[in-house]
Amino acid sequence: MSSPKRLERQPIFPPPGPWKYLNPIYERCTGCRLCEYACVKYHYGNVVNPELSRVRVHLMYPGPMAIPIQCASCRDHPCTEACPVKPQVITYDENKFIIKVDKERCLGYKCGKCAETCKKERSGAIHFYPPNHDYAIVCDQCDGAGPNGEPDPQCAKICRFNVFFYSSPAGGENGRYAWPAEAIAQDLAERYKPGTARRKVAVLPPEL
Amino acid sequence: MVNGYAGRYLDVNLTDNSVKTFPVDMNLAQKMIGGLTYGLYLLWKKTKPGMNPLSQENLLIFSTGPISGLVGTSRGTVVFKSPLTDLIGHSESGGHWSSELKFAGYDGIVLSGKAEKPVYLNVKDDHVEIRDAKNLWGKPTSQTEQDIKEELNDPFAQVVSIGPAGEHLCGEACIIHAGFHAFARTGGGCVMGSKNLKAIAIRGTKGFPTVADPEKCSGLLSSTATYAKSDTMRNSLWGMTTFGTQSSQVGSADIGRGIFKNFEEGDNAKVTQIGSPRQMRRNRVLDSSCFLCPTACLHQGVVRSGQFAGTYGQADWDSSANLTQQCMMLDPDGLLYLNALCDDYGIDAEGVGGVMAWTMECYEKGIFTKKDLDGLDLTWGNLNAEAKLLWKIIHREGIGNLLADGFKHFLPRVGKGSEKFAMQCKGVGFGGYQPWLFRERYAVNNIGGHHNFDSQSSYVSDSLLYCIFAGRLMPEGFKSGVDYYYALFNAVTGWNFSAEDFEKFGLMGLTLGRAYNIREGYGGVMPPSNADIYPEKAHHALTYGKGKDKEYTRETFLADRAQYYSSLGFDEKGVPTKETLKKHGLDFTIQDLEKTGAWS
Repeated sequence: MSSPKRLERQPIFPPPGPWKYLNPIYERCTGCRLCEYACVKYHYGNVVNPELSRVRVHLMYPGPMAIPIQCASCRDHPCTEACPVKPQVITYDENKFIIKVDKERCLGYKCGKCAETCKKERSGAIHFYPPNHDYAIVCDQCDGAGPNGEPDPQCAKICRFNVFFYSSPAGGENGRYAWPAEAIAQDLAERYKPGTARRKVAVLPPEL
Repeated sequence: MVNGYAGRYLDVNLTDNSVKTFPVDMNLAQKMIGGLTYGLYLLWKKTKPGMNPLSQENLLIFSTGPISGLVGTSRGTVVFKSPLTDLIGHSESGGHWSSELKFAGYDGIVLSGKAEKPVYLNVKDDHVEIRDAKNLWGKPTSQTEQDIKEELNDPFAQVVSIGPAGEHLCGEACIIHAGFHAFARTGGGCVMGSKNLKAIAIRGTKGFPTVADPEKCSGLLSSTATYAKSDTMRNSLWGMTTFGTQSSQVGSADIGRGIFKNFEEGDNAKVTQIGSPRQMRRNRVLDSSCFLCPTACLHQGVVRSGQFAGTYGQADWDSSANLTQQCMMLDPDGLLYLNALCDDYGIDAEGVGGVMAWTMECYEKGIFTKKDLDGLDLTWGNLNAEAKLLWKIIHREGIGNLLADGFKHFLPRVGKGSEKFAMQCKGVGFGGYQPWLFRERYAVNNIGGHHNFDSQSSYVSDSLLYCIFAGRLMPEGFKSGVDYYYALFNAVTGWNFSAEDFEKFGLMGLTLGRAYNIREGYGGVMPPSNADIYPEKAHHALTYGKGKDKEYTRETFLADRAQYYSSLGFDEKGVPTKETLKKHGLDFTIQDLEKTGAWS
């Protein structure tokens, strides 16, 4: 399976060495968005506001087919290279395999270089919520949620359909790694309805 | 800001393109709560009696309740005067739109007037605009939704739209959200089409309004979501998650309550051909949920071969029942195809299926000849003819122009005794259950022959707005889903409503719905003068299989109806007495009802 052309730079997958990531099985997702709820609850407490979530579920056609998109924690992390601040605000933690953001120093949506790069080269999982939370909102795999302070993604925990696997790749299981939602939807559409990628969902009338 | 409520309604007049807001009256909200009942109150206050449902004065009120948009409660309602029945019309839908509306900072949208040319409404938080929909007019609902998302460049916008059926003012037209969530029954799409409003796009970024007890509310929500993963809940939700509502296809026939051949029989040996286990193995590709609901009772499938190969659709019970087994069309691919056609073109499958079954019976009995039907050979189970008839109804072509008006309007024109087997009440066709099971419920329903909204509990669920399918969801330690919803309601609003309070509230809503019908001339609309009646065929005895000898006689029905009236405090004509209205605090209705001569 080949990646769509829009990815200018292919991510390294699977990366060498020990590595853990959130591997979504898109076919299982029902679009209930409880992962968004769990994410916001962990990071911001008792509020219900999907806009603050690190994982966003895109409802695409034909469907609605639900595509959860969050930071893929790319081993080559182009977003960190794009950060104009020195030292970088958005960094990669080599031990926990997660992206970290310094909320205080981040320039916010007016800069938005990391989000731009991610959108261009990967899935586009970085966003901002100005004015209250004007910093790069990126998945940190719920760093610190585990019993020993290790990452423990709450989205994977709450999901009733076991969409997310938080694991090391066993070998090429995610052919759509770090793709944008549109590309994944198109790919799945080809699977469900060969020859009709996402536009032609309208049912044709019977020949009269 | 009031707990659980966004605190304001959006008021859009499409005639002069004015966009205003008005606040939610909190004293009133304590009484009317929200959703259906609040919408009904607004409709009562803002419209004059006896208006034409397709005129500019009619309102289309999208309304949410205080707990809409949380776990198991992502539903909203739309209230209007129905063009099918000329009485109260309302319809509820799940999905993602009601939560999005709350997040945008509105409890609802009141639409009035009529746009000069096709438009759609774009709501993004405080930014509300009316946009040109020239390019969208005539497009199916799923295409409309994609095009709007592309035009607005917003993948997270939620869209409700009408299809060609609504544009052609079919009485059965419905409003569709996210491809398969339908505001079906009573013709909401027709009202939306009459306003030249193609769609509403909603995007909210403000989050859920403040709640009275955030700790408790959050605890309830997350323990419900977590408990849904437990073995207990997995077993309890298994049927819905695996088969969805379609499990009723075989299940209903097994106890003789299924509907076959225009309600002729309650069982059929071949029902397993279209039942959910076969449907699941043959067509299923995806399961889907409403916002924050771990139940996933919606199941989508694709037709893999044959003349309808490539059709992508979702089959639900009452819609499938009326489209397929009612017409004796027992083909699983055809079932999916007809459902997809209805959803994409925005017509209520449940209602139009009943109309087509009736047409088939008319053809069998010689009331319609082949010439009347534009050459369609509408024998029982003829899938191609049925699909063509559906297409004609959606586009009002030939015979479809007559049938698109709905039972109430075309039955007097057809005549010849056809009303005896028209399985409808007040103009709305029956749902997917035999009258012997539903007893008086189809007849006494305020919105016509629907399988819901005839009792106080429906008015409670559709005013707080929780889902009865997700009713098995509950946090650990709770006895039932309803207890969870009530606890959630109290945690969100900070009001201490007991189960009795909700019971009283439901009765009030039911009485208000009926009072609206009386105000709109409920008595004289359909012959005979009392509209709470069954057609003659509803009282015949079933003869086959599990349904054998099941019968709902006219005498039993009259006794049941009298019992229903007296238990709710209505007089023998079905009109709420003055004492009942006063007891429910509905004094404002008395003056209007006196004018109609309801008590004279």
